[in-house]
Amino acid sequence: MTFLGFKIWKVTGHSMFPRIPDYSYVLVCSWLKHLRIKPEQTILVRHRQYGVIIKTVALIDGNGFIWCKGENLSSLAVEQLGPVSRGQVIGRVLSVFKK
Amino acid sequence: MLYRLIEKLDSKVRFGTAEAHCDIPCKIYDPISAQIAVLTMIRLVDLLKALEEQMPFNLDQQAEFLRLVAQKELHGSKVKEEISVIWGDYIKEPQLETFPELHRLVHNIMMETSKAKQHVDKEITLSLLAKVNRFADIFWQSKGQTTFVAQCPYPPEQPVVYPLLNS
Repeated sequence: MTFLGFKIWKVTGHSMFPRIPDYSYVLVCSWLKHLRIKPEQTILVRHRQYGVIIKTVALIDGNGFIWCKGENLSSLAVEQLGPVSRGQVIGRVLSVFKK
Repeated sequence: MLYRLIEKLDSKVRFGTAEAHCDIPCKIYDPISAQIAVLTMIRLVDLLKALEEQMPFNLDQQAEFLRLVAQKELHGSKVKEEISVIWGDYIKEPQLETFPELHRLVHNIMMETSKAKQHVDKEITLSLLAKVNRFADIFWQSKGQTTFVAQCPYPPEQPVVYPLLNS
């Protein structure tokens, strides 16, 4: 259910804990991805191996690729996730709704 | 309150799911890897003790000695890693409440594994196996599985806790 580019997603998994615990909901804006993506922003990405994932931007490399990270030690490492292109970004997280 | 509202909405319209992946594969935990690693350490200690009787070593025996020690180190690290992953990723508040000994047990496993790496001592490795078996017993109980103890059908033929899984 999308409304003016805004969509709510359910989050499962622990890699964004404690900021985004398991079974939280996030409000995601799709058109914000067209603005400048910066480190520490939280984004939703359509990852080729892991499907739709929620991660924090670790860095943008010289070729414009985005490298993502989780927010705790149990998360997949940045190099395991690999770089993603802007085209794979679904949107930016605006709000988190925790239990 | 807003959360409950969204949750209700979710039950009607089913929002998409975004994964916050931890270690892959998620939710696949089994203490058998740690148990096998300890059994390997016990077996390596047996082999090292057998080798001790052939001292002084020729070149081949020196190479074998080094390989056995290296493997004992490797499997010691594996015990620590496998137990740490279950402890850190699977064990949560409900398991800690039911089994309050867990933190101390895991810490003791870490300490005893270090000792087992430092020495060529069968007693230490057997004591480590007892602790890892207890950890496995707790793990399976927390999943509602009954356990049983059987002697592993291969060297070093020691008692191992297994889950009694229904077919």
